[in-house]
Amino acid sequence: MKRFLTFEKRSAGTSGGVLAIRIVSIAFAVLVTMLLLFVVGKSPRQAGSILYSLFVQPFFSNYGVTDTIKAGIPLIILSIGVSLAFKMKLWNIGAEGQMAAGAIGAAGVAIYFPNLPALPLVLLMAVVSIAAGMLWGAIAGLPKAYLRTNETITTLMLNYIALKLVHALVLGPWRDPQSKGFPMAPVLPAQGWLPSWGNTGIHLGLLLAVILVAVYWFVVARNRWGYEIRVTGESAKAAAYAGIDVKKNIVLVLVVSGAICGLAGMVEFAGRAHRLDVNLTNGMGFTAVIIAWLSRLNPWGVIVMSLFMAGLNNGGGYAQTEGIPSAIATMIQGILLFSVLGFDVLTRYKIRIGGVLIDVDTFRQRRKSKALSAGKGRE
Amino acid sequence: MDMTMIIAMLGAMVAAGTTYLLASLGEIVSEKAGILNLGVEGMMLVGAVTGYIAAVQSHSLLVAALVAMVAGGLMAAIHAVLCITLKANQVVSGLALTIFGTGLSAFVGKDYVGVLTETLFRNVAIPGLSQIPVIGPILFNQTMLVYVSLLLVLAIWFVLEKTSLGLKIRSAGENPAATDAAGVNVFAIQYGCSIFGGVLAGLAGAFLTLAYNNIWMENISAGQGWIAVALVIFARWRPGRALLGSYLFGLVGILGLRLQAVGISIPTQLFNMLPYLLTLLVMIFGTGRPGGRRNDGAPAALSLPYDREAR
Amino acid sequence: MPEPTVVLKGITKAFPGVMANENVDFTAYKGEIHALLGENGAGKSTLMNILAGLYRQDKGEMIIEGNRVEFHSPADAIKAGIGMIHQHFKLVENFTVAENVALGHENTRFFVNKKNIARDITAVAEANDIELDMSAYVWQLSVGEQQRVEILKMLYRNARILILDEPTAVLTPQESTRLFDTLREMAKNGCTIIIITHKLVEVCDVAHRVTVMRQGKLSGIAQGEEISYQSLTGMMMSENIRLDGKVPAGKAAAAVLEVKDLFVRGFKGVQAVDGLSFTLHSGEILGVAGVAGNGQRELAEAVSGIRGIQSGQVLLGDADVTCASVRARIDKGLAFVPEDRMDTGLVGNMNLADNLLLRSYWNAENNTVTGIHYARMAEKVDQAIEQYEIAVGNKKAPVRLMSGGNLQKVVLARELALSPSVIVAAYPVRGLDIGATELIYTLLLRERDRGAGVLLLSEDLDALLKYSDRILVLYRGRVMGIVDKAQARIGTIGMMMMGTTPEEVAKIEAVSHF
Repeated sequence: MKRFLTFEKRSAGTSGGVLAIRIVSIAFAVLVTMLLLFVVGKSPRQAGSILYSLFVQPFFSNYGVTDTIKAGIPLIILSIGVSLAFKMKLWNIGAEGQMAAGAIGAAGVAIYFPNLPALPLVLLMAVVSIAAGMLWGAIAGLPKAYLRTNETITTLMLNYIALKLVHALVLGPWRDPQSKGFPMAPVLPAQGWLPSWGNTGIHLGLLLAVILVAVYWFVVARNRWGYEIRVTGESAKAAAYAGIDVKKNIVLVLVVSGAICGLAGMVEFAGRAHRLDVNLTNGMGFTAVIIAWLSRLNPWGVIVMSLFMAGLNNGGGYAQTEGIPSAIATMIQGILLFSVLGFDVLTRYKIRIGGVLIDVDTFRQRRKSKALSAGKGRE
Repeated sequence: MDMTMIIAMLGAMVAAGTTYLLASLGEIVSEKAGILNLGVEGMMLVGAVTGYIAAVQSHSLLVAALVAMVAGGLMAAIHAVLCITLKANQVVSGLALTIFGTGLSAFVGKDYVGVLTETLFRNVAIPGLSQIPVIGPILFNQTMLVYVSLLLVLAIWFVLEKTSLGLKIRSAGENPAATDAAGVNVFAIQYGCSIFGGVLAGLAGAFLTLAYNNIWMENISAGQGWIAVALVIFARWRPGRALLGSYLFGLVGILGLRLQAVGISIPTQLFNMLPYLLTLLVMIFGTGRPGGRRNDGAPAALSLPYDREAR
Repeated sequence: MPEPTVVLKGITKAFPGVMANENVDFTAYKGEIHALLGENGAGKSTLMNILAGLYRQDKGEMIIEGNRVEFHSPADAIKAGIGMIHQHFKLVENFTVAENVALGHENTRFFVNKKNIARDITAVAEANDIELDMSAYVWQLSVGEQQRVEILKMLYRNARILILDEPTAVLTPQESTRLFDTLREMAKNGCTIIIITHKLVEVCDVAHRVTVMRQGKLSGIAQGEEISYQSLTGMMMSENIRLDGKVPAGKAAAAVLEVKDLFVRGFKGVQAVDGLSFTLHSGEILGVAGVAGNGQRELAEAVSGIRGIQSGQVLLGDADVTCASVRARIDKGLAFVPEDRMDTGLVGNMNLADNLLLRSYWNAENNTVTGIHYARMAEKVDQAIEQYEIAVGNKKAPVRLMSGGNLQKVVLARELALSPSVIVAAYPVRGLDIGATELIYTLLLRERDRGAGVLLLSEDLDALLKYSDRILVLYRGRVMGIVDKAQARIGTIGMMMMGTTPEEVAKIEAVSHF
């Protein structure tokens, strides 16, 4: 008897194939969700309104798109930071902490120099947040390079440390006297707010995010340092053969990755939240890890996936205003991720179930040849 | 502080630490077999809510505990299918599991927020042992689940170190190809350990709702699942050290609260940061060797999917 | 006639893009050492992996000790008495010897009693004259010792059919001798031993029967008296073309590479290069002969700057590059064709342009203000494809999809593009077909005639004798002697490779001539 389920490594994943798989996986998740809602006794109307809140409102309504972009800004920046590290196969899952560190830096500037004029204040916040992110990256990077300490573990720990630090600060020395006892720092003076576009709330951070995406693309696809990162990520032996200083690059990449995530903290602080509290990062750093992975470190994919995840998050809120518990939205997000993750195997393997071979590119070719033969008329 | 206060506090420490202990024991087993599951928080929440609902409905603690364990195990099974069969990225799958579990538990439990039950794990003093001065009241006047967790520490240590099953589990996490070549069914081992991890995370959840907080509310674990993940690293994948670490983390939590109550102005959160800081320092300075062999106890093939016909 | 223990009939197995086995028949008998011979990529390992239950054949049947069998996993094969020792050992580094041997064994009871197990295993080891410390961790062991653990593991499982994949590739000559003694003993005890190898010398030395494979197919069987160097070569090589014909000698000129008193540590701190000196001249090929694992890899890596050295001096022309970086050495005209084509010499997941950049991506001419000059690289790719006759489907596709010969052409295209003065070529034709092999040697000869000095590491003595102007024999990280082409004979070199000094060789030869 043959093994029922076998996997064969696929040769190359085409980007078209990947996109097709993503779309199929999302459709599958929607199907499962509908089924689930039916099982728990939701009427088709309710199910429809949930799907509408999650998948239509955030992407096809004016306010929805605005909100999606706002929520997407920090995600894009964070995912770029994470992607850079992942490109070198450094599993930095510390974006959350690096973002928090950046936010602490920016908030500190706002608290200690509240009277600075707009430009110096913003610049100083940016610089300090970047420095804080770099520090967080370096704490993981130096031991990784010189003591071979697992960076997944250190960055995970550094997340908690940064979040606890935020908590301690907003409970203690930085607590806003006017906050009526709520654990939050004072509001950022208005001149420090990032300029926004009309009354949409879409702020300068968007420009920054887009610039970062472009820079990331340039560095990875065109630049010498990016070349080193790519080579090292693919094979440490080849990197040594090419004379690349791997240790230096480990530190550098984690520091720069941390810097970008730190900057995301400042952007979110000065662009949207305007005050430091424990919910500022709100799990975005973890979401960024998911985004980076799902977009396969492709810069344009990062934009698409960031907006998608941001919209999905917001959709939970819309659903809630319709009287549907936001928990359902969270749950559906989980299902969606499972589905995307599960189907992703098709981008890396050909699967044989029983006697049936499942291979995306053959599907595509078959479709193409079908279209071709249809044009020629049937044999 | 006098002796009785200290003893009371240490008793509270054991209770607080047991959530961590159950969850991290499960995660140790899963990781020992090579499966990293960052979804402990999600599994714990689902265990917490299903266990609570089962207790309210069935009035049976046994049923409640079993339901919580099955629910946690099913959650882990999702992770197992994705990561073992479909070779998905374990970090991403774990994160997704946490998101899913958070949503699922809140959804399932929304009608049980604020509902009280009398079906709770009460403290059961063990005759004899609880009479031992100091140790007795701290360790042996606790709920059944505390005793279960203590037995599990022993049992897991024993299985991992002293049995052929443990040998198979550890080698699956160290070198799945070698394990496979030796005729061990790596997939079965990894599935089993991963699901066992979920079962214990579910039980940890039930401990939260039915033995510690005695109530269900949304997001009741509040990050304790993540602490359990950190603890595995702190414990260097050893059950005995997980026990010490759990109680240490528990003590830090309790102390923070007490200090706050007494008005000592060390911010609690700064205090709560200590375990993580300690774990970080242990990871960096306790195990790193420039260029040499590492000795952090991490399974060598942790989180790497195994593909037999990879060429 | 002894009974056949292994009968494979019509085994066929395809991998994406490769027909690894095509309708292969194979028979091995009880109590024999059976060599499965063939060049790299001939499909030997695939066939044996199927026999060991690791792969499943697409077609064909297996009969073990008279019973038709179906293996779904290595466990099934082990139950049938088949044990395979892979080239890359399948051992758990963080486990002790005893734990590795006991792992997965059906006699290992649920409650592991370490003492009893160690005692049982020691008994098996002693019966087969295998020396090992049961409580040592595998990572502490030498390669030879690790191999013994693998053998012990199989013996402890009552393996009656033992497959060894290239068992001597990583062993020193002493360890190899010792291994063969053990194997002979085991065959005498009734085991069927199958050795996968491409080394003719070994086969002639130890095998009772030989099955030869070529390009995934069975190409011949020989036993007893029929086993000879000539007969086997014919079966192994594609059209019986050996690399014939004389190669004109080079014109050695000024020294381009000098290595003085070099000491280098290898894997696990072994003294791999142990006080080694030689000079390479412009216009010559200096061949390096030696049994694998006698410091070749470390020598090549140290010269090219990838591996740090303990002491000694390396001069490139007039420049002292002892402490120079890899990059500085490349810029000073050092080219390196590494042993490991796919993971070191090339980046499999990158395309041709990126791979051609690997050792010169920092050069001004490859960069513009807007980053790497990919437009120019595209031209270089076209040039390389034309000049080196590289067969590519899609120029933008990852190079890992290319065949071995084409991959090596890419490496050479890159390394030779900078007109190097020194070329270190480590096993440049390993696993290549005859056509590609000849092209590679032609290129190296052309470079020599251009005035480069070539340091050629090879395991093929015939090729070394043919192409080298001088041959350096390496033994345990030291130079046993350097022989001129005119005086070089295969027997002499062979003896030196085993550690005989040239003086002793001369004495022995003098005696035997009288």
